[in-house]
Amino acid sequence: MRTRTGLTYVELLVTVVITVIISGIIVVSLSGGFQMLKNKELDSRAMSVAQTQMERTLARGYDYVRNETGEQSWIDGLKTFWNISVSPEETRMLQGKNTPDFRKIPYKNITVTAWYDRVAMEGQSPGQRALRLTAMYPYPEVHLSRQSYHCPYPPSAACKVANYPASDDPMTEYQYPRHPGWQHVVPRSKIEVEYAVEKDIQVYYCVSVYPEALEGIPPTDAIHTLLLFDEVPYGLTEYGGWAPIQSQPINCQKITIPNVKPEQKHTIELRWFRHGEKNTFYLRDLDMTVFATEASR
Amino acid sequence: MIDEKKRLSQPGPRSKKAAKAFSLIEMLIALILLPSVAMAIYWMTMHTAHQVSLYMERFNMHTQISNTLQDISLRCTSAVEIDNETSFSGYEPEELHNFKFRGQGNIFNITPEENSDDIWYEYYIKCPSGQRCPDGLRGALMIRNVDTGTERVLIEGKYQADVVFRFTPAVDGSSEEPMSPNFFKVHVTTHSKRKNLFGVSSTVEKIQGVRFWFIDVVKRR
Repeated sequence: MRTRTGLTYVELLVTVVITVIISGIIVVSLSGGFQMLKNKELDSRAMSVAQTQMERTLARGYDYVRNETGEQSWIDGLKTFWNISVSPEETRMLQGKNTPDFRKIPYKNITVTAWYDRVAMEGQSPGQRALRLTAMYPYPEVHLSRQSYHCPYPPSAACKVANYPASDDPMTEYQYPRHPGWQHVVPRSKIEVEYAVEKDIQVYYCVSVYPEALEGIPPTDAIHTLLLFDEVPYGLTEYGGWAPIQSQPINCQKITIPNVKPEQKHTIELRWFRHGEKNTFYLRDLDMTVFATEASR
Repeated sequence: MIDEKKRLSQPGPRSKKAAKAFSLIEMLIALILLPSVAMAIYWMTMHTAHQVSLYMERFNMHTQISNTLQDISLRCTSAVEIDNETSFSGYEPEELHNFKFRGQGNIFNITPEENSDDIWYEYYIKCPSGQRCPDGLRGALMIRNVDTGTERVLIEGKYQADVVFRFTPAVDGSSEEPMSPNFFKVHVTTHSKRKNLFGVSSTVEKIQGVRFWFIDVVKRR
């Protein structure tokens, strides 16, 4: 009886053919792996672009965020495109409806979209893919506005302060606006504000002068300052506050303005004059800071 | 039957001995097929091993870049002072390839009012070009403790790292993305020397925005 102990020729050929087919399948699948790798790297880049743009937008002030479009170029010549969309929204407090306590709470919705061209996979068209991040930017609780002015040394004529003689009746003589001495600091020290919610404002200001000559300054020589809120004297009455130059060449004041109405333009203005007729004085520095916080009720 | 037995024992094409051997044509075909199959198997093995090492290398590059950006972000956020040589003027877009600042010794215990626990750090590229350098460190992205001189590798030198710190001020009419004075963008790039396969780029790069809490990156001079 005859027994077979080895492969026949046909079996060997069939084995080779099957091996070639299987290796071809493996090679094709591994090639597809590189395309998936590249697409995942493009995804990673798009995410880094979107996160960077979101961080950049949130670092800007609430009033300065706006719609923007741009692109990020990479060394390999590819580009990732990005778009920032800002939409103002508002929500309401859940309690206190139809009462004076009911407040709206404004915020901005920020959407960052990053898109790029994908690498074409086998049998598919390349196409574009978009990545979207959203964030809520709440209305700031604190607002800060500032105006400052410095007269360089040696001073120019623009910084010279006019003299106004003393009066026997200062309560009527120095009333605003009748007294001609009330003037703006050079340049106009006026800040305009507008808030979306009711705010309490604190105004800090300092006015400093220096004399042309240090000797012979009478003790009655003074700096008068007046703060106007919406063109009406505020805080220290219409006569303003005053400080003798001899002992206080720097005059600083703090004035609080509560419950400033929202969604209206308001002006905060500083006026001053120098009371005295001897010596020549020049403005040195002016600094006015408006610090607004949410109104406490 | 005796004739058949006698015939099979004699040499010739129909002998029993002849039936146990390969013919010439079969030998030739086998000589061609077997090396081909062996080469195909060898090529597949090398190809697979190459792809595995390529994936591993790209994983390392991505990991090192991510760790670097996280390190920069965590340390710079709580910085309290920037060296004059590595600050921005704020008048036009600027790029720096190193950054030196004073930050917290412990980035998880931030004490901006306390200076005694602060450390001067510097991010820089080791021996960028034309300098003598320890093997393996040329082109590495490093972080250095300026006070003690100790340094640590963030991205290995074999990846020829590059780091760009970029600030773009808000300029009217400019199409560049404006940045707040307390913000800049970090762009880290690494390069692989391996041979490309199937269009995968030899560079891996990422960007990240960093916002500073206590200081600005702009120093108007």
